[in-house]
Amino acid sequence: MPYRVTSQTTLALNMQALQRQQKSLQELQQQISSGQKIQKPSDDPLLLRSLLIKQDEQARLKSHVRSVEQARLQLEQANTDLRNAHQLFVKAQQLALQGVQATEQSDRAALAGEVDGLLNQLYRLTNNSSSEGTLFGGAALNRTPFVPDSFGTYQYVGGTEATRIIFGDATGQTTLDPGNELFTPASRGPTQIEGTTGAVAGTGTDTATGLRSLLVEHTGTTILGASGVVSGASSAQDTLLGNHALTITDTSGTGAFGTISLAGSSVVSFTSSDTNLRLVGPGGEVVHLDLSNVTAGFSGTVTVQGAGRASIDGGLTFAPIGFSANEVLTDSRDQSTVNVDSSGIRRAGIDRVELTQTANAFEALKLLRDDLLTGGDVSSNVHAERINRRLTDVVRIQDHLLEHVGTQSVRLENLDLLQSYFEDAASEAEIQLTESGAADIPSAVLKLQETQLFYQYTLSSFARLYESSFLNFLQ
Amino acid sequence: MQGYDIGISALRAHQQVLTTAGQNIVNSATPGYHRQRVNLVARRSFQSSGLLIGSGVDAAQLQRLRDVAVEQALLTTGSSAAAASTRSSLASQVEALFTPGTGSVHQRLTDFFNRLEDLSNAPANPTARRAFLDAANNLAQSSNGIANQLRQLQDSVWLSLEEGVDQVNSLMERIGEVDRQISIARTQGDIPNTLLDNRDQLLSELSSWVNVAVDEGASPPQPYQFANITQARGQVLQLRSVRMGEDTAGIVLEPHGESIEIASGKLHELLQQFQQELPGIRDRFAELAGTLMTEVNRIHATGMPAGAGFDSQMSANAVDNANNPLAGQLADAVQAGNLNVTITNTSTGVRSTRRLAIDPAVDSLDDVASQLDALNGVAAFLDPQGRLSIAAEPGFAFDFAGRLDTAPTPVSWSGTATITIGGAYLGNANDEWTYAIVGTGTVGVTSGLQLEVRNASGDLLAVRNIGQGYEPGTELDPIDGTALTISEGTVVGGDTMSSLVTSQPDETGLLAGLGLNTLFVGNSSTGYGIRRDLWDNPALIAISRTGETGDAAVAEQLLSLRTSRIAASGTLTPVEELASITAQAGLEAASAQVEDQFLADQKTQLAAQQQSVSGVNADEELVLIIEAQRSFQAAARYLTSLSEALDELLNLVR
Repeated sequence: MPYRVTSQTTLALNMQALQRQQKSLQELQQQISSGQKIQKPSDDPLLLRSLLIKQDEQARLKSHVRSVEQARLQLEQANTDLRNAHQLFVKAQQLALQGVQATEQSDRAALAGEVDGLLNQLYRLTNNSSSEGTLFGGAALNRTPFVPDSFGTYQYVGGTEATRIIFGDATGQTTLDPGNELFTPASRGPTQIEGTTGAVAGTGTDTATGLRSLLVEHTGTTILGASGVVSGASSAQDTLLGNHALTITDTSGTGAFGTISLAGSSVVSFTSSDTNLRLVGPGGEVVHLDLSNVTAGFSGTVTVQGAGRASIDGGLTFAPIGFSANEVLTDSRDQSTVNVDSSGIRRAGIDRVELTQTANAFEALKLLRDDLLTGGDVSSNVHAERINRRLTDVVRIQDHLLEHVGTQSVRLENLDLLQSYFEDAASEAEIQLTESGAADIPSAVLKLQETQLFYQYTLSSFARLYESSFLNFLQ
Repeated sequence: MQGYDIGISALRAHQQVLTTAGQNIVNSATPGYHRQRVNLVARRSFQSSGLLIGSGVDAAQLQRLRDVAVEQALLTTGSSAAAASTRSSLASQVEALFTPGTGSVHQRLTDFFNRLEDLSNAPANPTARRAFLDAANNLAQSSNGIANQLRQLQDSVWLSLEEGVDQVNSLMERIGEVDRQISIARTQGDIPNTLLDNRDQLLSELSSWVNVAVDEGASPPQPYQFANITQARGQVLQLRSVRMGEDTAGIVLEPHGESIEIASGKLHELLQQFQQELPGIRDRFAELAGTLMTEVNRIHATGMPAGAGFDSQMSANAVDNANNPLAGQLADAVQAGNLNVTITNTSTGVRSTRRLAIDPAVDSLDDVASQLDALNGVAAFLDPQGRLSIAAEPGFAFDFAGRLDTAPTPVSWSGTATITIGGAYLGNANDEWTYAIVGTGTVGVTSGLQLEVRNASGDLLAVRNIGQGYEPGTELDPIDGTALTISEGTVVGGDTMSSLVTSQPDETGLLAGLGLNTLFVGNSSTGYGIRRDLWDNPALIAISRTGETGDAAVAEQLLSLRTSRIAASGTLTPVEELASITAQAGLEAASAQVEDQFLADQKTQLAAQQQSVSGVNADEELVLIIEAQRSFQAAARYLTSLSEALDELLNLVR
């Protein structure tokens, strides 16, 4: 039997063809209107998988760019502040140089006023913050990093960890260092004890910083040997500490009168009526002696022993002086320590302890201010030496800040490079996405036209088929 | 008068032809209709005047034109095509769930990690915290949405299955009834073409549900084969759908419930989708979501919000029996290992970490609570629902960050100097370090004083000078990020201290399992969400390892999940696995579409072949009508002629 074609078959085949063409037209139209090759996963599952991974990568890279931009903003602000801090110390250096040359106390006071202004500016600057938190508080973003302390300067209470820019793939980097690293440089130099007590720096490593006072007090006098000399009535006012030689010569042979000298100082005459003789040693140490019972005929040297105590916290706490090569004194205010060689202590007094190269930025300015103010209290040489040391501190802080400005600049540069890298990579991903996922519009348009043409042909041929019917020929 | 009989037979026969053509024309678009033909047969000849003369024409048979082989092939292909169409439709629905675009789960996942990165780089920013929570919530909701829609799709497949079985039962009943009528008609000698068309049409409809085999040509007629069951002609079998579990279903024969196997048709595909395809992709997606949420929770649970630690924590998840071993009682598996709990004295800042050994095969939640309760500074208890609560005692706070102790614990120590610990341990393994003094003297003063640091195995990790040249109170060179500081004072050779260093604070996964300090709550069955208190107070997001506002160490760990191969049994990143699932859905849909189209084309071809035999061509029928009309006219003319001839004969008689 020949193959028969029925109208139902024709209709079914035509409808099938029309449906497919319409589907194809719709897909092409969607491609053209959306610009995307893939509208649903089944359009190209394998390509879609790689596109989805690439899209996420692109989004991740864009996110990295945003993170870098944000970190850069903070770092730029911190860098500006750090540069400003550096400028404060440049100014402080100028003021210190002027201070060295200033001869009038009023001039020095004026300079000290300016330094005080710098100190206030530094305080404000170091506590600056951005929209994301403090700039110099490390990871403690919500805590004011520098607060006034008991030494009249400012103490760092921020975080000890730096902030980091995080990408989640171990390529993060440090952004903002904690303020203690920036403004508290540690390069401890030799400790200098300046004063009259005879104390010098010990062999141990100190932990105190800046400037401290060593308070040395006399607590008792003992006179060894059989000279018959004892402490005088005012021995509480003795300042003599440690062992000193007391040379007595009973010129009367009865103890009624003679001469006496402390540690080689000038010889003083005495009589047995001297019950509270004030004797001053070569170092200015003072001892009060009762010479009423000098052993008859005694001529010789005995030892006068002065006991004492020392404090590094202004007398809040004391430690007995052991007259050893290294004694550790603790400041009860911050538990910091100063090692003192007390073996040479000869008299009571207050020594200035400078823990060189330990002054933080605030201490450096404070010391400069204070040394300018107290310039009249010491000799011009001492004053000049002190100001020179302040100058050293200021320059040291300056250098330290400049070093960190440089470090931050490098970080900014790295961030710039990172940003460029991420932007380039994101653009590359975009290009790949476009090349892979974007619809080929000209091709789609041509195909649309072609399919549309076929669609019209189908309709036309279908209509033509149905035009001819045997009925048309039946009259 | 024989001539009249001949003419009348012709009139009758052609009348039948005309009627049949008319019937064909009017049913040309009737589904299942087979064209019919009247077979004209010359009547038997008879002897007249020595001649054998024909006696007219008969409409001997009303033939129903069909090709049995094609019809059978059409049934088989139709069954497969219906299955393919069902598969394609369901695959398209699944595919739609994973179609990328605005608001898709892909975008939610990308947003989650992007917002996390924003938060990592602005941890103190409340807007970044809120945005991260929004993104996390969107991801959870999107994940829940897909899981729910896949579940609903599976439920709708089950409903379709039930409806399909009803349809099949109805069709089988109707086929039985039509068979009975055919049998009666045949008994009465009728040709039941219309009934046969009806039955074929019903069989065709049935084949779209189940595989059907009919040997129509056999005599006597063979029984039907529906699926793997045999139904005798006129017999009516009934099926029933049975759901045996979440993903298990079957179709059984009533009334005894014998299981039947369906090889093709919609029921076959619906069963396939219900039991394999939909659970397959649902489980794969659930595994991805579950893995991601669990990993996030595991990390988040060991983090801290800004501050000294927690005052209290209550587990979101409960165990069925707090006195039974933990194993199997929590949705997230718990492994044997150590849980580190850090307790901080909030007034002194002194912090110590304690390590609890937990074996889920042995330890119950009650045992865990007892271990926690024994720690100084915290109290732990269980509520009647089987949830664990931990509360810090006044003046204390706790966390699970595994932080370094502020000072090591003396093992034997007679000096006056003390050791403090700072920094953050960056090693890769949990360990216990011992700090031993070498030499006797004053820290920072006596030359030759050293501090030796060894791990639990006794390996020497570092030696540091603490004698002359060391500034007491300053940090020694860090060891794996751990910065030790020795105060001024004396040390004695041989003195030792020890402390824990922790890389993995919770080796057990217990915190995530219990829902303690997690980001997400819920599981794949109940759906995921954000912990309520976090949602209300984003400051509680635990992304810090130290409690400092700017510390985002835990956020960094969370962010590393983006590029970690945690999905697909540790072979793919979450994004890659989601893309793979999407591609799988796309491949399934594409494959189903191709199969659907192929079988539809095949069916169309077979239908065209079937139509070639059984279909009605109106033009053909019109030609036949004209032919029959002419024949009818000729027969009428013959009768007229015959009548006129007879009239002439009668006129002769008159």
